[in-house]
Amino acid sequence: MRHLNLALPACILLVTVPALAEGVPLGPEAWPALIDAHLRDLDRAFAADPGADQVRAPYQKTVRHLRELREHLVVKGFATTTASAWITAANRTWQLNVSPVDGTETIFEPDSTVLAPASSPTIAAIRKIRDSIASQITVPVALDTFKTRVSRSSDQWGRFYKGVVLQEYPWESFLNAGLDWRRSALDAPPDRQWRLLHPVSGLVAYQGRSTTGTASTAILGLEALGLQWYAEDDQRAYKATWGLSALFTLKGPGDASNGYGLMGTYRDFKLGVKWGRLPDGRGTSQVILSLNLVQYLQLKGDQGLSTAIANMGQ
Amino acid sequence: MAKECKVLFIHGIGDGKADFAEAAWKILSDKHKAMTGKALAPSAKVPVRYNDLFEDFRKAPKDGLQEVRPFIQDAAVLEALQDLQGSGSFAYTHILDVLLWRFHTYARNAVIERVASTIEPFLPGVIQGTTNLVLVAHSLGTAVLTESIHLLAADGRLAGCWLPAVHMLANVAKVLEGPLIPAYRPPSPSRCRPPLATADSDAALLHYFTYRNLYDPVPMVDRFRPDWREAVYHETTLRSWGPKGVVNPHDLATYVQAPEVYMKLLRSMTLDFTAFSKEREIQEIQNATQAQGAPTPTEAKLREILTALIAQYGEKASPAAFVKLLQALVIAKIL
Repeated sequence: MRHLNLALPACILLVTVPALAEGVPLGPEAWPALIDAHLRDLDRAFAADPGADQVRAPYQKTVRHLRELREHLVVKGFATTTASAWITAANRTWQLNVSPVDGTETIFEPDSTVLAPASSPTIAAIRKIRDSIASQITVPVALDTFKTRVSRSSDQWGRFYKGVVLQEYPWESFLNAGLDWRRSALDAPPDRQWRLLHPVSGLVAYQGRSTTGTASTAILGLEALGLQWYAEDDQRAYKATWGLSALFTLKGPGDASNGYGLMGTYRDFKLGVKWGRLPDGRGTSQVILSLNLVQYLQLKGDQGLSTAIANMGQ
Repeated sequence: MAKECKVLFIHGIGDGKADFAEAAWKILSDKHKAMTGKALAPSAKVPVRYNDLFEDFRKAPKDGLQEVRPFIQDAAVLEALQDLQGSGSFAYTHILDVLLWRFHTYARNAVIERVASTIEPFLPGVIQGTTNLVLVAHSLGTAVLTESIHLLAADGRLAGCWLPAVHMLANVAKVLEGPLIPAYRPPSPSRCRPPLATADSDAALLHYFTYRNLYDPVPMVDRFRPDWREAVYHETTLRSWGPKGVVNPHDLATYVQAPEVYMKLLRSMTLDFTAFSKEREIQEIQNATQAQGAPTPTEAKLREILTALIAQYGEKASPAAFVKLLQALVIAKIL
């Protein structure tokens, strides 16, 4: 924690309290003594206040909050997560609030301790103490907490939405979101998604038995039901990793029936195996590759696949 | 030390153009100039947009369709697909936006996070007391802002500070509340609320302003009416028709041009309680009423129908009242 490193000896408190409010942060070791000095100043101001009765409530509340803060720092010590969280929460106690309704200045909300009348020495002392506590203790700690929290969050949901949700078909997307309705924006996005009736295209790269003898036929199929896993890559973009789906393909030329099988995914590549029947009634199996996998394999020099890609859809 | 004012506008349904806040800002700036002699600093205006997330959904999945397209021989099917991705019809924008917000967990979370992360850079200023952050949301934006503030508070990103004020115009935070965080229903309401009691450490706001136009059908579906303390919760009911001849009781500019709204907004933004005093607000309301003049035939017809409806349903909000009001708007050829 930054403030421990910046700690200075408590003897620096020999300077006056107003000077402290304007000076550099003292560090946690000096905080209890700083609070003691504020308590003394406040008592003096209240004792000398001709309208003390009018400002007794804010005086008492300030004393209570100062003592509470001191007790917390001394008893629990600052160098604990609990104390840091407590001071962050206490930040709002010492926040100066200007009402957007009538301009009334308050602290210690929601109790609405009004910082008036301005002429009161007690109120003037409370204002100085507030500024000092805020600048020396609560605001620096709250800003540290804020930075920690912000670095933890970094629009993870936006990246998930772009990398995963927008790659799904609407029915898949609504299905996944509906099944996952309890996941709030506070939670991390899921690492897997259902696939449902997801159209896929590919090329038959291998056929067990064939009447036409034509491999590399382009086919259209559906990932009927499956699961797809995702993970963030080095650039924190969501990418598909592994997946497995039940595959359904439409009857193509040279087939006597629709096909059924399995399709696996690894990153952008898909590889499937399907079974169907030939017109002569014999069963046949086929290996199907996604187009990008085919393109990858083209590097191996398979001209037959290149031709099939070029002829797709014609 | 004077605080730097930042006004964040969060848009409503299908209103995510880059300049969506321009008309409202012009009204505020003109009024400010008329009352103080100075225009508002343009740098104070910060439009917060999330509609592109919905637009992207309408165009998705680009990659998937690209893959399948070569297999589709039928020109009509291709055309239909093209239309589907580029459609700007009311049903395909406004209704889908609401469906995505209400029922699509991931789209909803992406929108919440987007708005929360847009508010985030202004929080150090609020924590240090140097920024007067005013949040103005309209329609769907009110539901989005409610959830985004809850996220910031629950995730510790508010770092213990209070947000000074939110202004919710055409508040639908109740109508479109999510399944997890109720807008105000106990026992665990959204943290986008003013302190409910003296020991309400979860509340994120100091003051909550909400505005409802009596003739606006949208918030009527399920009215926002928490039993929050009057000291910190400020509800305003308007009877506003919009600019002469352009009757749109739900429009952002229609809300902002009402003196009850712009005076509270300007007070909240400038913390100037002399130029924008409550007495001045009363005077502005009187001036606006006098300037209204005679209604056009359409306005007169609509007023007649609505007045009868409001007399029938009173202040009670219900889906039935909403349907009847919608019918009235259709009859008056406003929708």
